Amino acid sequence: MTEEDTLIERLRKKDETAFKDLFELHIDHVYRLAYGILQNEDDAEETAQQTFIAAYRAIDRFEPKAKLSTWLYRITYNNALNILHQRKQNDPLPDDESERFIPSSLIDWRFEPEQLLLEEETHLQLEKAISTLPPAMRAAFILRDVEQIPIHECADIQNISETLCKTRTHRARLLLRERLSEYFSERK
Amino acid sequence: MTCTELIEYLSQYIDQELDTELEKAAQEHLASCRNCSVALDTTKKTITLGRLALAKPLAGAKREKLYGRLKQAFEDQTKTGG
Ligand SMILES: [Zn+2]
Repeated sequence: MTEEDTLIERLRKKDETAFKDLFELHIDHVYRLAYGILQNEDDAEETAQQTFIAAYRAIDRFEPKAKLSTWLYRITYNNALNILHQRKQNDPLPDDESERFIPSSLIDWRFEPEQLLLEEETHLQLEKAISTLPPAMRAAFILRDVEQIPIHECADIQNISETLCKTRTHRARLLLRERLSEYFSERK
Repeated sequence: MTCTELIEYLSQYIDQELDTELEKAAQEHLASCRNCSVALDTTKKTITLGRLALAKPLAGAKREKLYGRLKQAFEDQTKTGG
């Protein structure tokens, strides 16, 4: 029995400490995806709360073959999209299969990421750049490049094809690169 | 390979998903095209920057606040027959 199996067993038996363990193991990932999609702390907290409670209540329906993390990401993703929908913000799932994006800012960056991150301004610029992406692209970027989840799991979480998942990640990377280049390029 | 094609394949190149032939064509293009090399380099930097900046654990205070809120909601739910 793996540690995850044990945790699931304890959750099924409604062991009170199991809920805390579930939270500690997965909150960072759940919150990052929720915040990535929603770009708002209150909404991300709300999503995290809904996700853990839904997971706890539905634990008997959890497929033992699946990974707990993938399942939680999927619930998070759906909850976050529901909140977006309630907020009636811009369409979270734009038709992103058409139209090519051509990079225009093609000057190398002056510093390496590790150096850039020492400055508060870098974090602000990154947040700003991410917030300009459509939510579905943000989700793809967070899952693939921040959480570093394999493509098939990524597609599964978002209930889309691997091809579309790759396309969204690619677009997200290029758009972020463009926005950040405007700021980090080696200019005078 | 043209610049437009290279850009189209850029993520697959970074993720090492191209077949041998396309990968070789991409490498050849990159060796002779300054713009695409910069695009590759800055895209890689973008990915690294995103990962390093965002893959951080929640700060202690926020974590505790969130757990408190969750525990409360969880207890309310179980009381009402969940
Ligand atoms: Zn080129």
